[in-house]
Amino acid sequence: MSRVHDELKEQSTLLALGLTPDVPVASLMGHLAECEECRALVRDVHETAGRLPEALAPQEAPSRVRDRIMQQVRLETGNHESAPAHPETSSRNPSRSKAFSFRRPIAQFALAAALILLVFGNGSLWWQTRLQSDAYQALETRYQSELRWLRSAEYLLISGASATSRGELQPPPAHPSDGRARGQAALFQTPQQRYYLLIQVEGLERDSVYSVWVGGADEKEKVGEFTSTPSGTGSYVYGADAAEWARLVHLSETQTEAPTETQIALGVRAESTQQPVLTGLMQ
Amino acid sequence: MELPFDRREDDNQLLFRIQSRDERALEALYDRYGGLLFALLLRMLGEREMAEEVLQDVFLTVWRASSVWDHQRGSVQAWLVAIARNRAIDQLRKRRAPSVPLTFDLPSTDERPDEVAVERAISAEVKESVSSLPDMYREVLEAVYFSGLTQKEAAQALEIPYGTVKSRLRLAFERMARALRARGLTR
Repeated sequence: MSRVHDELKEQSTLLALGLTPDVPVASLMGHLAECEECRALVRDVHETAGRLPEALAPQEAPSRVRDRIMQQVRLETGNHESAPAHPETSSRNPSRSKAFSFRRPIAQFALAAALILLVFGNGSLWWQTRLQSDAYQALETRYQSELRWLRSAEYLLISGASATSRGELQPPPAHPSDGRARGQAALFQTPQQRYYLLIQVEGLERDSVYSVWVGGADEKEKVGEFTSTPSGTGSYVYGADAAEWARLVHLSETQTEAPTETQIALGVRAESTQQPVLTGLMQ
Repeated sequence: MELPFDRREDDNQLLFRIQSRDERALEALYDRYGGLLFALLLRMLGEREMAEEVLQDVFLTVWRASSVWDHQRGSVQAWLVAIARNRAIDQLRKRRAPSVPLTFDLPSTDERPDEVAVERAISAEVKESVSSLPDMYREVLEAVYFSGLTQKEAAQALEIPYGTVKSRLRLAFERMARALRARGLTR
């Protein structure tokens, strides 16, 4: 059995709990797509995790939450017969709307104070706040990106989606890098006919923004971007329905150097320099 | 004792009805799992108001994204718990620090005299399975599962090596799974 198979006992626990596994995700997913024993292991942990809250003291489900949920559902489905008489309190998130209404004078005061600081302050406070905000935003973006990947990975694992294509990502010959960057890509198709492209890369510049493209030699379409970690690794997941994926694959097929029907060209480039870092073919 | 497998089919039927836009099925699902998820969210977030907001978000997610649910993926309960944990971890990350201490305190299940006897018995079995874990496994489980820490954060908080967190987590789940299976609570 492969190294991945041997290591999966620990990795499956991490995956089922939404934690980042230590092995390359593409190889992990590829192995899971083929190994029923490992899929069963992941499902086992997933189910066990689902039972753990029963060990806590039981709580009554709040009836007001139930009312708010159903109120929102009726609004979304257009069933206004049971909707409240005051629609202004029934925005997308009724609880937040009520809280905002209650705190509106405070919010207005805070806004006015912020404007005064912005206009009359010496600028340092604004700049400092801006820097903190940017740093927080960067962390949030990275976290959301990882979370997106983790949730997709978890979904794919549990659903037993099959890997349709896989490929290695290498530095392009025309733009030789220092040779450290390496990556793997895998394409999965779910039973609901959605496609997920998973990419995991290492050897990147740390804390840098990279974009992911799919397409041929000349025509490339950016499908998203990610920020590398402080250790120079990065991962990205792109999800698309069958029609969108077919359009992207067609983009690959129309190129002269291109890929055949079963091949998909893709790559990663640095956003700061627009230089290609990695390219590859999935087949 | 009624086993959860019987309930599992009912749960699947509820989700099929939700996929067909049956609002009553969503209400029934809330009545069945709202309390369980609320207990989890209260434990993870430590704030009633926040737990209620996340609970609302979980069931609206179920309503809006019910089409992605597939009964072959596993039980409805496991799916709901995974969604609730993910949402709670979102909130914990925003706050940057978990509000619950790294202790595994399991209050008595006898707090609700109106609890259905079968459900109480099942919950007691799960509680017993968790309680029977050695402390070193329970504290890792608490840190990662209920406090939403990553394995690295848990290693720092518990002052144990990163690899130990992983192995203890695996062993905790192996023991839990074995115990639940022996009690007929999972397949």
